[in-house]
Amino acid sequence: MSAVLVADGVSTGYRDLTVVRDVDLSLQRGTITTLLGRNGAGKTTLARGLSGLNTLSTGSVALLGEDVTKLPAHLLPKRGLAFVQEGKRIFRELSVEENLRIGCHPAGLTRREVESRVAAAYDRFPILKSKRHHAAGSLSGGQQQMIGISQALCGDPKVLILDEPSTGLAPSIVAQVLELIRELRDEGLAVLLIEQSVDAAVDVADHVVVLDVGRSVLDAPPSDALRHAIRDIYVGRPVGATDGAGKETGKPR
Amino acid sequence: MMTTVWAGVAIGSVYALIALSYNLSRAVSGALNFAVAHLMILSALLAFTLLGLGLPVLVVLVVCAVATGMLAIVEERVAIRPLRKNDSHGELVTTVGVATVLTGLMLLLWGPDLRAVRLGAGFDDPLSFLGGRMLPIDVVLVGAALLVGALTVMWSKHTVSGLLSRAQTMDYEAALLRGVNARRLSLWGFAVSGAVCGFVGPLVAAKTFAVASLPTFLAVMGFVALILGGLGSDLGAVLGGVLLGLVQAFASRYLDPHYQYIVPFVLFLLVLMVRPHGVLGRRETRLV
Amino acid sequence: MIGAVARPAVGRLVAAVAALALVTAPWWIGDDHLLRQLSAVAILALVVSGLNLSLGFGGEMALGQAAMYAAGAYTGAYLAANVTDDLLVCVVVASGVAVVLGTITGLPALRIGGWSLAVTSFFLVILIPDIVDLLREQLGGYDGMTVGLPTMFGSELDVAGTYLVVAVTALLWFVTFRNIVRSPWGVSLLSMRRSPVLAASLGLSPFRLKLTAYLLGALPAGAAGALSASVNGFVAPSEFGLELVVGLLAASIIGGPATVVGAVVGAFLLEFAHEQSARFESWATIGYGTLLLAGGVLLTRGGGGVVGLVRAWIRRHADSGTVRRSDAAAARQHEVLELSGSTIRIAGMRKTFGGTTALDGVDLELAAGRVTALIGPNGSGKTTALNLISGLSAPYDGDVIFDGRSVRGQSAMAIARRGVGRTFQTPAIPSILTVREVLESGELRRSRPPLAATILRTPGYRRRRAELTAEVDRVSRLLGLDHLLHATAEELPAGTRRLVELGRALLGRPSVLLLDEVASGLDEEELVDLKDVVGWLSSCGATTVLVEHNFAFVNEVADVVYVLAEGRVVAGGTPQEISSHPEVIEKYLGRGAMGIEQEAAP
Repeated sequence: MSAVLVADGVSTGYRDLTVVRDVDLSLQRGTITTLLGRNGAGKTTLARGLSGLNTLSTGSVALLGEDVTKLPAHLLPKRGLAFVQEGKRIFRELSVEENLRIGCHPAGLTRREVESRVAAAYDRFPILKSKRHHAAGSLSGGQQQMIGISQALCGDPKVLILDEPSTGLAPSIVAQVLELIRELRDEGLAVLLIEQSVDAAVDVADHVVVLDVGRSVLDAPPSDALRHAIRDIYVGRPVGATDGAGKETGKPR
Repeated sequence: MMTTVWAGVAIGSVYALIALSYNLSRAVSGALNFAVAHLMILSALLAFTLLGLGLPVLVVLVVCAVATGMLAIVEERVAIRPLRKNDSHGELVTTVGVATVLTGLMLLLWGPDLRAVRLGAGFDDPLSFLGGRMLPIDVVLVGAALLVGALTVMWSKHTVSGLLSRAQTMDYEAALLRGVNARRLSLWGFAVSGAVCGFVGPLVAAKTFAVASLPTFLAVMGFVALILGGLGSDLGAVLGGVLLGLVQAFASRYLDPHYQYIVPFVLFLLVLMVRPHGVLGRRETRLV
Repeated sequence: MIGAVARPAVGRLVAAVAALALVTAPWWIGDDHLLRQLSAVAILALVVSGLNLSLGFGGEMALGQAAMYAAGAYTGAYLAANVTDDLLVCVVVASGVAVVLGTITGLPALRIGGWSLAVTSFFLVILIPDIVDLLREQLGGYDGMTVGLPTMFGSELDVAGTYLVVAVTALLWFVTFRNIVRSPWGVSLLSMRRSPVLAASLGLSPFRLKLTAYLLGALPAGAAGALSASVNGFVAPSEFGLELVVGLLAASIIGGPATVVGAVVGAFLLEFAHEQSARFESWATIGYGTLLLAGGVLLTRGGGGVVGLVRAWIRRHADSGTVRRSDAAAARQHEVLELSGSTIRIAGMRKTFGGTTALDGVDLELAAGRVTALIGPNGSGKTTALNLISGLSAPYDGDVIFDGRSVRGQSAMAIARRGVGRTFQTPAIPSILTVREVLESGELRRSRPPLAATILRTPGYRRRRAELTAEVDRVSRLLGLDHLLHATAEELPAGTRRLVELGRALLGRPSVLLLDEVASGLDEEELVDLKDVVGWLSSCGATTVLVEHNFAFVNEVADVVYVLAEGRVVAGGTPQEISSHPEVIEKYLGRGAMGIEQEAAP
């Protein structure tokens, strides 16, 4: 196993608000790391920091061994990072095919290579092919999520960050999405999956990181003991005692 | 009657060219550049000077296009890029500011007098067409509007940069995450749209004339054309321009020259009330 | 050092001295030319201040002031030539004409705003020469018309007399202008500029406010027109060109569009540039343009202009901030706000967005004096439910019933007026306002003093203001914000901004309080404090609704918890019932957690 993305002591937030504090993270080739934590814990903010959308106030990010901390967001996709934001943020007024072609942009392909890359995406999701000329926003929620993920895959990423891909999808579709994520892992991608639902997340994960109040409070392989600890973080503690409890669970590293 | 129609179509083509330039600036940067008409007329004044030196027309047009394109790059750097982060209508003020600076430059370098831009002897003989008379320059302008319109549509629908531009104006952040270099797109977009303005400016001025006080007026008429046709629609920009030109020509010919702008204004107010998104415009999520 | 409390008095003294100097100017300035120049500045200041109202406070590029100024000038000139040369009559009628013109041209474009509005204003100016020439019998055509010496109450006015009329008119207007913007009206305008959604939640109609600002701004422009016709003795269409529009805009932006005195500063600059422009017209134009460019980049940061910079400087060097923070928690122990809660019943609520079902038949019951929490994973429909209750998101299926009466189909503004106060996920706080002003704006939901009373500062107005001040003092003490009342609200840390929002909602004496993720972004200490505040709210009697993700927080403060998932209510009950509800645990916490729960159960 080799680390594709390494975050070291990352703090980030918005303007005067530091949301994520001093988080370490290491994403390995061919593994799924899930990032858990209740909302407001800083999961999305961390992903935004990793992908360059938010600037880091401390720490560094290395992608394939290269320091990318100071790089602007638009250069990271070319270096192999793809971030699929939550809420199916695709280009709703563009057609399905146009969305996929935009996804090919970071890979710097020729026109012909773009066609074959798009064709490969259609092979993975035949339903998209039949709707290739429809406006992306007119498709169902699950199909939109497929577009979002395919779009990211078209850029030939090494790391894929997925922010709550199962949100708002029917349970059967969620199962499909999780299956797809496993496939991608098996193809060698390093996947960071942001989830709120402990269940889905722990089942699919090779490794689990839990954030609470912006700090990484757990970092371990999935296990029943882990579920215990996560539940503690989610509901078990009285307000105002985060720090103590966080240390209690410790960092098994 | 037909002569009036051709006159309207010709002046309408000028408005259409400006409206198209507005659309282009919005497509590449998300901001409407109020100064496009000023770039055109500045280029026309430059052409006036260069033609006076005896340079051939085509060379002059190319030089003007390059010079104006460079000016537009400067504009993008000072008036558009600093606004990127705070997503309000800041360009309303900054591009009006650029337009004002350009007006001052024109006054400084060419003074307040009207300058006639003459493209050549052949442009002065009227043609007869479908029972109306038309000047060759009118034909050139109509052709230019159609050509620029067609090229803009082709660019936006069929090229990679056009696709990325559209994506970028829909969701800036999502575009960044797909590796779209929005800054470069905006800068190059301004350069190209500036070059187009620089190229057509002397043609516009060959019909009207070139003077520092003209472009703000043209900018307003171009915007009215844009609203009539629907913000963001290139076909709408051309149709809106022609419609505006026709209304103006007919009001001038059959009512009184004094009404040539009053009638379009009333039409503009009516359209704003009845169809605020223009005849071909789509309803945007929020314009406020 | 000037203390925070002493400052308004100092400002008032400076203003009084300036006013006195202005009115007595003819006695200590013998030079007619200088008096004319001063008149010109005062006239321009009138026009710019009108622009400030619509641009700085209304937040719209409504540049119609130039056209209204022209309309005023021609009305004045026409009246002087044909009806009466009494300057007072001319000024009053000219203002009226300007308002009518503003109404006709402003109504269609104000709805859309942005570029449409700006271009409408430019277009109006373009039309001036043609209209004047159409009416050349009456208005003198392209060449202009002369205006005779004005009179007042039957006696002729010389230069000094005319100057006095100008100076007094300007003073009266500036007092009016100040009284309008330093009042709930000004705060409403700035709140609307910040966000139309915020305005609606305060029970305000954004469109009506914009129109009011635009039309009020027409008054000084029209008056200034009539005055300038008399002062110059001449009116011609060339005075009202596009350069004037640009000049006015530059003056407003440089002086500070969201200030009162900024208009005077801007007018001085404009008149100075105008004086020079005969020689350096091109340079003056380049100068305006550069100012606009610089101002436009800075405009998004509040709109304080030169005046704002000076104020910030004074504040940095003068603010002592000595007010001590009182013990809010102790104060809450024995003091409640009397809030009469409402019972809200939500029945069969359904809402879809473009194919996605956000809410799928939700029933909720929100009781008075209780804290009801809506929890659930992202996308479960919590915020949608909140938006439907507050009328921001319509239409929907189902019904929302307030105390037995349906509010289905009512606007956000109407629902806010029924007594719904709310906070926002991202605090919505207008720039440049102090904490006190933001808190005061909460009261707008209940009532707003009449405009006339506001301008005249009637005893009734003053009494209500005193009551409001006391009320703000009380609420700020109860929330522990009393030491921050003079601070600029927007610059406070995120947690404090949330409290300010809560305070604003409380000033409206809400029967229902909707708190949208009020705990997010707070640190531990603030969370403890907030918990206490929310508990206290329900003891005040309000119907409190929390949308929260923080389960632990909800556990401690809520009386009733509803769990939403995929647009449906999965469970409802006390926090204890919820945390042991099997389906909730599965949906929200995962299967693993359920096993633990059963283990832990006695």
